[in-house]
Amino acid sequence: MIRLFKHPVILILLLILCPTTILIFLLSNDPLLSLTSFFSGPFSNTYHLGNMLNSSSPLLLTSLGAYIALKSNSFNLGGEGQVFLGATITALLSVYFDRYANYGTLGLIILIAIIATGLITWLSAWLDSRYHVNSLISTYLLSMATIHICNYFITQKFLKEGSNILASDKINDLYKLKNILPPSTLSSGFVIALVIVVISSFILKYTILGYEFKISGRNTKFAHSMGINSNIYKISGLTLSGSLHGLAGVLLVLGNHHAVIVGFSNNLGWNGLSSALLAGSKSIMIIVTSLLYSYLDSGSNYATITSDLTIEVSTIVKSVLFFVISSKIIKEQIIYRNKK
Amino acid sequence: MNIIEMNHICKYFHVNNTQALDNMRLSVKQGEIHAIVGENGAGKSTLMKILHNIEKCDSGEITISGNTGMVSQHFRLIDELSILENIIIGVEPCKMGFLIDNKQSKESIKRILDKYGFHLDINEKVGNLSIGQKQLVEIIKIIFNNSDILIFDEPTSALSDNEAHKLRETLLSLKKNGKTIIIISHKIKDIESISDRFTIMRKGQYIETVETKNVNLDEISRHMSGSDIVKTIINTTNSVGKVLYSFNTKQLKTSIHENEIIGITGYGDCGLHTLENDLEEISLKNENIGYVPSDRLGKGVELNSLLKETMIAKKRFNFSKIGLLQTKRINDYCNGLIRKFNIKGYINSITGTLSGGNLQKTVLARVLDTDPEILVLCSPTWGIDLESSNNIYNQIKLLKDRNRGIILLSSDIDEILKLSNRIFVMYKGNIIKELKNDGSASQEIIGKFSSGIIND
Amino acid sequence: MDIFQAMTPFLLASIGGLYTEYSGTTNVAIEGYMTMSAFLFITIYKITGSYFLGITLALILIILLSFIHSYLTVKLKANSIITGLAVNMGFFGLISTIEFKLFNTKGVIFLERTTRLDSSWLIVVALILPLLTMFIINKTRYGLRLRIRGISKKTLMYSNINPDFYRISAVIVSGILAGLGGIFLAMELRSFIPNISAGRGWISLVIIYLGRKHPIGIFFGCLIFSITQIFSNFSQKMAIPSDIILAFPYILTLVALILTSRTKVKKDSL
Repeated sequence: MIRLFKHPVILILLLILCPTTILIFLLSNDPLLSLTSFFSGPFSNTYHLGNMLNSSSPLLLTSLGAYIALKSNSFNLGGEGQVFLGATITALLSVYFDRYANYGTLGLIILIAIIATGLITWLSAWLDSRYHVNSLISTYLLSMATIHICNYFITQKFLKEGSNILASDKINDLYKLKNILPPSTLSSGFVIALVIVVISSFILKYTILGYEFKISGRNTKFAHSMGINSNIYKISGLTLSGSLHGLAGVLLVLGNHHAVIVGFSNNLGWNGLSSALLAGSKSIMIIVTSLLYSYLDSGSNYATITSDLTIEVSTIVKSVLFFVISSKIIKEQIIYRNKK
Repeated sequence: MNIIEMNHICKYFHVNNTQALDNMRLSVKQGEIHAIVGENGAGKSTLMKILHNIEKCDSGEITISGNTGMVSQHFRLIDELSILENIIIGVEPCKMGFLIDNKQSKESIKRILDKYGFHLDINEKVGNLSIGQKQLVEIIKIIFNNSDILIFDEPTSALSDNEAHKLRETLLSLKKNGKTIIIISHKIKDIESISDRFTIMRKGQYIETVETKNVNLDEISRHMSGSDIVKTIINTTNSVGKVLYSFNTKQLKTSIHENEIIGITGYGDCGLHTLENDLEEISLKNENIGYVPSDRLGKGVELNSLLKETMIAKKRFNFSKIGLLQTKRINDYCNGLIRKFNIKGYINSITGTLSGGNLQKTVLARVLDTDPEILVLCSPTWGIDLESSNNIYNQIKLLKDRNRGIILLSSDIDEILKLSNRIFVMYKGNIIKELKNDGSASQEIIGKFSSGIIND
Repeated sequence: MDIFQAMTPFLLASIGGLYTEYSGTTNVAIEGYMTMSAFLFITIYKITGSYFLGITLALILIILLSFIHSYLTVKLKANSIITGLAVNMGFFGLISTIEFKLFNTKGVIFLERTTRLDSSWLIVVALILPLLTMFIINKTRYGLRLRIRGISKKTLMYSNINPDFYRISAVIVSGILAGLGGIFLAMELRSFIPNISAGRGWISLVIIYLGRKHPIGIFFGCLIFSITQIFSNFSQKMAIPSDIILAFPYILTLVALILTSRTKVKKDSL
């Protein structure tokens, strides 16, 4: 029985259940209603289920991006800015070149978004290897600068008139991703994100490229001694991480908001980072952790509508989860002992 | 009277699933020098850490009448700070309870220096000191701490012969001043010349405690490993074959021949490390040169990866087809290596969970399986128990007999003398002497050269 | 006076962060601590109406929170950067939740317009902090051991000193100082707004690196940032768009980091 409680999955579930329940009992006047709506809300009908899955699709990509940066032994703390840059480029270019709207243009726009975000993280990686500027700090700084500059373009050049939120015009209907589960907002973007994660996991696990990438990230000295150029892998890891965040921004515009909204990145950068950390050593676990995060968010979303809870309950639960999951002791004591 | 009494001490390490101490006991008399001997991995350091209260034991009773102070194998000094600051850590004399009183510290340290006849400028930065001086600082530090029981973990392993001799005298004078000393050492000389009694440990267990003067010291090593090891004997005066490769690095300009072992040695920062880096670069560019690094945990294996991932690292391209890894072939190959080299571990276990000896076997397996013409071996038996060391010597012998050339970098002079045809001695970054190992070379001669004395 | 006012939160937060740097980690939760203490101060002041109680209770709660944060990080052997991020995230969640519960809003909490809060003493504290820190680090027992903790944990262990105490206390000191910075901001504004620290916590981290982890270097780092901040307030009245001005300090910081680390690399290679 005690062994059962020590299983990682059970542990994570307990870590979600306990703080949530405590919080709800503390905060809500009708705890039972809040509790049921929090946990069962996302599954109550296709509408909520679809919305939950849709919100997880950009998260899948940011998690993968954060995961790849972590595996190349660097932290990408600039996810927020990179998602926002990807979204801004997609929305603004789509609106600006609306006259030439066709799939070729869309492809080009997406490519520009991916390259631009990749360049930003490449700069951080390059600064790290050339000048020893810690990429942890430079990614954050560049991201903050990017957010402000994007805000400038949205609010000063492309602001939608007569709207009560700071947003750009909607993109062309042609560009919107196909809805696959009406009446919910679930778009084909979810499938795209899922496929990208699966392919990346496969590459990491079963190819020589993935092998060299993992070894370089874990131990530069060993990699060098084995004739692997770990610096290239380190730089491309961070670059790829930026591009994936950019792609998440693209997906956010094409599949979720259909425009870019100031200050509305859904915390995708931070959530991606924590879900990647939660995924641990297996990249395919990203799918599970991203869905878990979306579930927590949709749960608190749903509970906000139906009961007197606030949406931040999920943030608190996530931070507790985040905290405990980074513990080395728990990994050693539980995971290693179970192997024995 | 016994100043230390340890009974039924048990300690288990979860990280690598080993029982480090198993019902261990130890009793030390007031005012004696007590040596603790045993193979690497026998649990000597762990026992001392428990005695000094750095590690907690799982169970057992300990009675100590006095303060302990410990000088560990890797010094715990801070290079950036002065000798004075390093010495006072932990028992800083203070004004008003928090302001460090430099004047009082200086006086107390002076008193110790005078009493034992040490010479040091206590305002010097520790980073500028030699290894022997650093050790002296460690000793002053534990005397300053008012310790009655002084624990030394392998104190002579990093010292030159001359420094080791001085240290032994220091220990004897500490004993004269009423201190109790516990010393962990591999060197028979340490045990023979200064210890009163010694305790033998094997695999975490107590074997026996004996009076030094009553035993034949040649028997100690047999006691330590528990069985008679057939010693590998390598002929160092054989005629060599044709030239395999000519090295031309900044330090090493010589040719290696078939059926030859070149030993390169020296003390401390003599340049062995730079030479190793140069040789590594050469081995990266040349497929026929295998390289076994001295930094085996960093460069030799990847501790956080699976054992099979570590094993295929060099030969990885042999196991991929259009970029895909062939899992089955990898598994077969790695299982084969494990059997062939008798490695205790599984292909899917994390490399870091293997013991030190098995990690070195893994490195050798990885390198030897590529069957290199020339092998660069750096400190191959450092920190490895006698039995495993002997296995490694055996592998070296087999390799040599197959007309391979071997470059051996090691600061262990015994090892160099045992294996090499030619011996190069390094001092301050350069090779200052080349010797033929035909009986004329000895510990003392090489030791002299290593200290920079070349006037024949 | 303006310049000192602008410098105060930076100085408090970055000197606080310096203590954790000495102990060998980076406290990335400074931003969270600033916001949290600003919120606690305004909330307690609004409820009790007492200036003194507002500061003391807010600081006591900050001490408690930073103790939990650092104690768990040390005892669970967790990655301190990750737990710092978790603390940031958790604090923002907690603030919104409690704010909504107490005041039924997630926006700004105003104090009455007539309220006068004396914050000048915090400016004085901030200005003497660099010198005080130099004294503590170089002359006291705590300072010596703190520095050693940052370099080698084992050295302390072999002297039978509890190394965890120094790491935990450093995080608490940085929590208190960052908290004072947050309280200062709240006093200046006479209100709490959700994004009150506006990246100052992160910039303080950058200032620590920019100042080469030395109190005097940090003092000048704060000076540079305060000047840019005043300049940006000033030029907001002119034609330059505010968003571009807001982006400026981040880019400037990066450039400064590149310039300082470049000289460092050269020095090492000589």
